[in-house]
Amino acid sequence: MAIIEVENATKIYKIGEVETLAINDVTASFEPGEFAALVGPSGSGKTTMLQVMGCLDKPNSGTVKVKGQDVTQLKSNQRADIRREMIGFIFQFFALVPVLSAYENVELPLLLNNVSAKERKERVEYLLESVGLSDRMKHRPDQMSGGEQQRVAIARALAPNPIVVLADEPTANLDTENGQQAIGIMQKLNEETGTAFVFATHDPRVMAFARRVIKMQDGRIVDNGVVVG
Amino acid sequence: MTWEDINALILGAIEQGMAFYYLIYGIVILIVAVLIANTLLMSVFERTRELGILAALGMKGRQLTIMILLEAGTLALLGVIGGLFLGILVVWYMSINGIYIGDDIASMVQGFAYPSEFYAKIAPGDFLVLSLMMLGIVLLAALYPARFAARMEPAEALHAL
Repeated sequence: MAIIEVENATKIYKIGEVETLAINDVTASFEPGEFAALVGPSGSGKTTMLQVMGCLDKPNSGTVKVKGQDVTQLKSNQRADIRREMIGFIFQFFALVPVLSAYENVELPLLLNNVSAKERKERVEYLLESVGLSDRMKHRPDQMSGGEQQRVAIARALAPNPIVVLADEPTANLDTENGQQAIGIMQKLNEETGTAFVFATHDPRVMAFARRVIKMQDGRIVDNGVVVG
Repeated sequence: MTWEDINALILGAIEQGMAFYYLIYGIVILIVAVLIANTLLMSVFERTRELGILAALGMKGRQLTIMILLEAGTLALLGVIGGLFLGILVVWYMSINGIYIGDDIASMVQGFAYPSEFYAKIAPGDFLVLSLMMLGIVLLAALYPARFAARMEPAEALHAL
């Protein structure tokens, strides 16, 4: 069964009097364990697509199903529950909480999910070790490089054991080496944990890692991608 | 004849004066409430992105409200503790050393038992009432910024990225 199904979703943003069609009648579905890239030029609707898939925003029309449940009918608190339990996010600008250490940032979603202290400790240590940051646990974001911050964000996204991690331009703010490292870690964790990853990118080096490439243009999906390998 | 009988006129004047003090209290409290609401609202604006991240991680509106209220409450509590400490110190000093108003004034007020020095008195009741009132006002003033934070759409808050 698909983990996320987007059916005929349209999202229009209104800024003042101007209406922008961000995604236009989009249909796509994602299977468990996928490693898919959403690609397309700026303004093609990648970010909106991820936000709609991740229950951060509702489409104006169409449906979005997460594990078979139509989330467009849910109230904001119920959508928050879905995000907390099933979806991890990675953002372009790392989006760590600046006053918390790497350890605390990864622990945060576990606290929100009422995970026991012992389990939290094990999970945070395991995840930070997986992203190669076991020696940076006590460091705050401003004491870490961009690459390290993004690796903390990857660990945080995976903390609650989500069914899918949605990453919006995860390498756009990293140099080539750190970008490759971050995407490599995402790929490794995708294979190890079976968590699906869907990432928006227009970096061809990142696309090369994807097993499925979905092409977007002007708010529409022009190629739904074929799963490779 | 008690001292109250002797000083009935002055006590009457003090009572009238108190009404004026309450008015000043009211104005000060209003200013404090507006300042606090404004400061907290600015802090919510500045942290729109951070609040968006917390919402993306699955924090509910109610939890964000509680977080902002707790933050305001903690700040208020620290402020009240600091204020109490400084206030008690000053009152205690004045309860020992008194406030000297000079023999001239005392002698000018003829026909009344008027001292040349006044002594302050620590009034625990006043401290308690004012402290609780301040805490209450801060939480009330924080309610608007807290609700504002809770109502933000996560996608919109993250646009501040």
